[in-house]
Amino acid sequence: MKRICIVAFAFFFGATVAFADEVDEELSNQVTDQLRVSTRQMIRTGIESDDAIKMTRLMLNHHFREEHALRAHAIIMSAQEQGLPIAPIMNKAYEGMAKQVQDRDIVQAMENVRSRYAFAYEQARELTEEKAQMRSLGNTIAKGLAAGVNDNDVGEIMERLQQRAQQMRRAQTIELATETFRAARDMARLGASSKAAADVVCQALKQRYSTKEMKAMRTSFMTRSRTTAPTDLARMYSSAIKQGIGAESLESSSTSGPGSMGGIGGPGGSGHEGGSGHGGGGGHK
Amino acid sequence: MKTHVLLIGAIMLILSGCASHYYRVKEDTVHIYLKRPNAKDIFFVSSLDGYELHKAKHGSDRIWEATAPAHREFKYFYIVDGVVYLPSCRAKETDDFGSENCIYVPDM
Repeated sequence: MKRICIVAFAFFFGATVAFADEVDEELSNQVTDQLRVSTRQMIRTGIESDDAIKMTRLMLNHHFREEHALRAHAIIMSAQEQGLPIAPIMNKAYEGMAKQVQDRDIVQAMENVRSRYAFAYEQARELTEEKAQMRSLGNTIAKGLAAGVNDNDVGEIMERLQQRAQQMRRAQTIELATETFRAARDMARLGASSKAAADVVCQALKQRYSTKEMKAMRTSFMTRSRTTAPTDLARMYSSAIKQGIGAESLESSSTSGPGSMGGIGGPGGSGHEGGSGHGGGGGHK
Repeated sequence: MKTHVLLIGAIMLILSGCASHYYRVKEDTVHIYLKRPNAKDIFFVSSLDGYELHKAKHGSDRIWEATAPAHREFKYFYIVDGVVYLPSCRAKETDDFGSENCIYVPDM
C-alpha cells in the first residue's frame, strides 16, 4: 500500500512538473503567472497541451488583456467539463483573431458558441442518451443554429420529431432527426428564413416523410434555390408538402396558386456579381 | 425562337464571365477564384486550419486563386489589402462578430 502511494505521488508530481516545463518552455516570459496557472489547469481538465498552449500564445500575440484571456480559458474549460466539443470554440477565437476583432468581442463570441452547443446537445439528449449519437446529432443541430435556425424553431422541429419517435425505433428516429436538421441547416445557409426553413421540415415530418424523402427534399431545395429566392422557395415547398406532394415530385412540381413553384427568379448561385467589402464585424481594432 | 435561345445563351455567357467569385472542382481540389483586379494582396482564410492566413495567387488577369480539399466542408473569407472581405456566395452563416462567412459545401 505504501509503495502504491509512493508510486502514485511520484507519477502525479512528475506529470505536474512535465506540464509545468512544457507550459514554461512554450510560453514566453511575458505570460503572467495567472495565465500560466490557467493554461496548466486547461491541460489538467483534459485539453491537449498543444492546443492549450497555442490558444494562450495566440491570445498574447493579439494583445488580449489578461482578464479576457482568463475568461477565454474558463469558457473552454467549462465546455470541456460539460462534454461539449471545444474545437468550435477555439476556432471561433482564431477566426476572431484573423478578423482583428477586439478581445472582448472574441470572448463573447466564444461564449455564444459554447452556449449554442450546450443548447444543441440538450436538444439531442431529448432523443437519445447514447453518447456518440447525441454528439453527432448535437453537432448537426449546432450547425443549424449557426446557420440561422433560431432556438424556438429548433424546439418546434424537436416536438415534431418526438411525435414521430413514438412510432419509430430509436436508430430510425436519430437518422430522421439528423436528416431533418441537415435540411433546415442547408435551407438557412442558402438564405431561407428560420421560420420558413422550420415550416418546411415540420410539414415534411407531419406528412410522415422518411429519412430518404427528407434527404431528397433537401437535395431538391439546393438545386431549385439556384433560380428561386430561398425563403419564397421554402414557402412553396411547405405549401406543396402540405398538399401531399411527395419529395420526389418537389423538384419538378408546378402547382399553381400560392404554392406555385414554377418560374425563375431571385438570386443565382455561386459566381454571381457583387460582394461586400467592409471592415468586418463589430469591435474592430 | 432561335434568336431567343441565342440571346439567353449570350446573356448567360456574359454573366458567368463577369462573376467576381466562383469555384471549380478538379479531382480532389477545389479552386476558388476571386476577381479583384486592383487588389495588391489577398489572403484566403478558412476553418480548415484554424483560420491561418494563406496568400492567394494571381495570374496576369488579376484573378486570385486559392485551393482547398474538395471533399470537406469549410467556412471562409478573404482579407483584401488588410480588410476583411466577404464575396457573394451561395451558402453563408453569421460569424458571431456581426458579419458572415461563406461556406463551401461539397456538391452544393
